[in-house]
Amino acid sequence: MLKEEILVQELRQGNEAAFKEVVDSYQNMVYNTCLAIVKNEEDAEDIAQEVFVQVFQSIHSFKGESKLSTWIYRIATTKSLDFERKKKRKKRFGFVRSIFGDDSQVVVNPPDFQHPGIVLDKKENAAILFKAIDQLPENQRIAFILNKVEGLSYQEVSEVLETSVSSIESLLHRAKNNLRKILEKDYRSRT
Amino acid sequence: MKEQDHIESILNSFDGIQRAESRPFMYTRVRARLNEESNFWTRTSSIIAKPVVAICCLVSVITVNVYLIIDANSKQKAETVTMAGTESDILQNENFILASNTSYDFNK
Repeated sequence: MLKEEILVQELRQGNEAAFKEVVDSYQNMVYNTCLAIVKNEEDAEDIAQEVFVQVFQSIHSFKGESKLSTWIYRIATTKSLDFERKKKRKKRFGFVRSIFGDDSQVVVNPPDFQHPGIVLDKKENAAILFKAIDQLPENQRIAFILNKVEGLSYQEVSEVLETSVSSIESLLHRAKNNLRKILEKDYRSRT
Repeated sequence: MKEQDHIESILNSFDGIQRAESRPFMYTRVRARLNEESNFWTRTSSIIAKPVVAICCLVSVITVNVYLIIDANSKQKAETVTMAGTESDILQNENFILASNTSYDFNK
């Protein structure tokens, strides 16, 4: 913790070496979180860079009440969700324009997302699960991803989402129930 | 039963997941982005490009134009009234001159 305090202090002073250490230490954590939400490697890479830019620019607003990693997780999830919302708005707007005969580029549904960290024999099922996660409400989606993909404990997830552990338990319980329903519907439609 | 087993296997497909790794030299790319963002013109264009700023500028331009049009119209009306007043003065003066001339001619 002391090391983190010194790191934050140096970051506030604009110390390049401190910033490099933060980027090196947290880049995979940020990238993995963003990738699980946006499901595209290039977009996740782009958002991860934006996250670190914000970390550098907003370090003065970090009060030290939580861990640095918790704060960075918050920025990463917020930016990823913002990106997803923007993408959905563009899609909707593109659909409206197409009605009025605007020959915009056709939006092709991307292929199923394959997370690079999933073992080979589970890749297909994981792709189905990622698709189902997309249909969850945002808070359930984030809680599920942080717990299952990032491996955070309920306590850690509650710190990121700034809520209680019992709320996270309830959120994850509802997420699993909703996922079951979505998967059942999908299974029945295929068979 | 088969359905439930299948669903369970999907729900458990994240077990043993490894963290994805970003491409190398992330710090270099972040640094380059920070330098780009601190450029004056990039910051200015990002502010101007915001929809709120663009809409405010448009509303300001329209408001100023409407004000100028209304102001021009009201000035035109005031000038017309002033000109009318001036013309009647001129006519009165001419009448006086005519009248004076007539009296002079008469006295001759």
